[in-house]
Amino acid sequence: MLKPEINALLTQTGRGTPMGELFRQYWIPALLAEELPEPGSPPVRVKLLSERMIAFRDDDGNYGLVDEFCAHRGVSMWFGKNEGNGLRCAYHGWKYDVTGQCIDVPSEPPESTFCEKVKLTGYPLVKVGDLLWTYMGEPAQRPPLPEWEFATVPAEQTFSSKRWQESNWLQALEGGIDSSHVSWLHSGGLKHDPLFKGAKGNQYNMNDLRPFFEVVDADGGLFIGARRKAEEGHYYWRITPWVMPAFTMVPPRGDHPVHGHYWVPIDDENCWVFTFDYHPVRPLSADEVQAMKDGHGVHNEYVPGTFRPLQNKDNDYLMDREAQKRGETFSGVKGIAMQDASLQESMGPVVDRSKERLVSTDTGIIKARHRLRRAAEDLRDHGTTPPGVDPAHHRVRSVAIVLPQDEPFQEAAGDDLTVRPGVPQTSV
Amino acid sequence: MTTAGGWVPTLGSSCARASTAAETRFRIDGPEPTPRATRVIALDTGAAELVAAAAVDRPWQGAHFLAFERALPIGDADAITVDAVVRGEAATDAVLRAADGRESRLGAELDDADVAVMVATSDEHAEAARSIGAACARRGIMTAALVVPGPGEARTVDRTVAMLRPFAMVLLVSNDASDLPEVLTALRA
Repeated sequence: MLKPEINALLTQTGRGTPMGELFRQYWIPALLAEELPEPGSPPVRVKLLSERMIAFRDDDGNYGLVDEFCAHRGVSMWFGKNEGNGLRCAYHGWKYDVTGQCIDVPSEPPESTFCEKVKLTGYPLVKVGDLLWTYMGEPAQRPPLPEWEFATVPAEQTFSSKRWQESNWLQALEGGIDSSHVSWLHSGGLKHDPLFKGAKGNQYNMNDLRPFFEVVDADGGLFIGARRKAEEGHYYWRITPWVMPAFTMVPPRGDHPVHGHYWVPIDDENCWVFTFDYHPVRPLSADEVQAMKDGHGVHNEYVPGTFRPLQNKDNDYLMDREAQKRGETFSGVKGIAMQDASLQESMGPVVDRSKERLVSTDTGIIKARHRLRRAAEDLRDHGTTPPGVDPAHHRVRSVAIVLPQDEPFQEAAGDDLTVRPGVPQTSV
Repeated sequence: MTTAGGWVPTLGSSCARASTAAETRFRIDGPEPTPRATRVIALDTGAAELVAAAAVDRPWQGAHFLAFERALPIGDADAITVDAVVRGEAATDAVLRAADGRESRLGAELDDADVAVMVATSDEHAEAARSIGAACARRGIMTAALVVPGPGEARTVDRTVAMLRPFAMVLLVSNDASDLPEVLTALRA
């Protein structure tokens, strides 16, 4: 249960809000790199943290993310012409470089310095892995670039996608922290999905539908361990790292690629779900990549030409009651990603958390909310740099492991929870 | 809109589009969820301080804030095992003490409890964690445990964590004592 004012604090991410300022301390995913594939690519509209922007790439290949609207008359720069060293407004020809600096006002005399005084708000846009990342905070506070393992392994070992989710970012994130729904909502996927099936760990999942949880503080956020019964005297642990503010990794299954998410607010009622799959030590196979492109695993199919899921609220997520009755899916919705999204969107754009009835197994969510709130308030009141900014906090892994019952997972799996180049993920 | 089954919803509110902010106002405004009868039990001296502080941190809805004093075996001590307690074949009891000095029995406290939250900062009474956990399991009471080791002292609670693990549906090992009132608030204590 959260009071409405705390719920508002956690869910509002516009500039000037406590959580909005918190998000502006981090490098966050802005686009897939494939959206600006080459120098001079057409500009792309981007909305993040309730700010509307244009992303483009000049002829030298430099990336820019600037205010969507021309400083002259406020028209959208999406209609602009990407030429040479900048983007030229389609209305009167004002031209801006990748920093947002105006570099040409054609109506002014050649000797005029007027354009030097005109600058659109601009943010850095940097390619790390197959994502373009931005930092929307104060330039002086800009942290080092992100070092998530999925974004730093060789290109052939990683795959990313993104989808639009029609809900507040926190609802989506909380789904990534809540491991107890997997044995129910995603039970069909464990049996049939090509990116999950066959792992021994799946049996532990299906044989014990009442996991117990241990939640442990980490430097960058939390480790959330869900344990289920395994062989005599042992537990099967699935350990999910959450790194503030919005990064989660799903524990692995067998030698399948490891996946996870970065949940990025578009505005207070929508978010981008950036989804990655990678393998720490080997290239993804052609079949694996094709399965990801086909929407298996934690990815999804799309309305052609968009990042809107093919299954969406306008078609009742293509609900299939017969598949539900046959037990192929628990909710009748196909696919892990859309099973989550359909339920999280059904809560409404911003769920009223004052009405919820949490149980003890929701403690991971309770703790994450508390840490987010503390971090936002500490930043607002004391200027404290929040956890998760330091790239050292990015070097985490999820783990699936069988341990003796009396061993604490954070100690027994300590090294496994850290990125170790050249060492495969710890998985069952 | 046409769904996978081929039917066309008559109203916006009879399909997934009803998850808009505008439709939210038509949700039935039911009564506030009722508070849960919560027993917060400190297992050691340090935890007793945390529990006492939480008791006055904010208004609560009937939660009892208690500290473990001593165990009270019932019947044949040799017959008392955790499994026997869980099966109802044996029982344990304990003396608990509230901040005002009032003493009560564990069994009586748990008889009308919905949730038990155990709090530990050390291994001082690790065995108590197990017997309280078993008593909760016997009664089907929702359990949670918060372990707040001192800075750099995570290993000093290993035994308590191991004792709690089979019985606490969730174990939170935290560096932040303020997690206790937050968890209690979220659980409607």
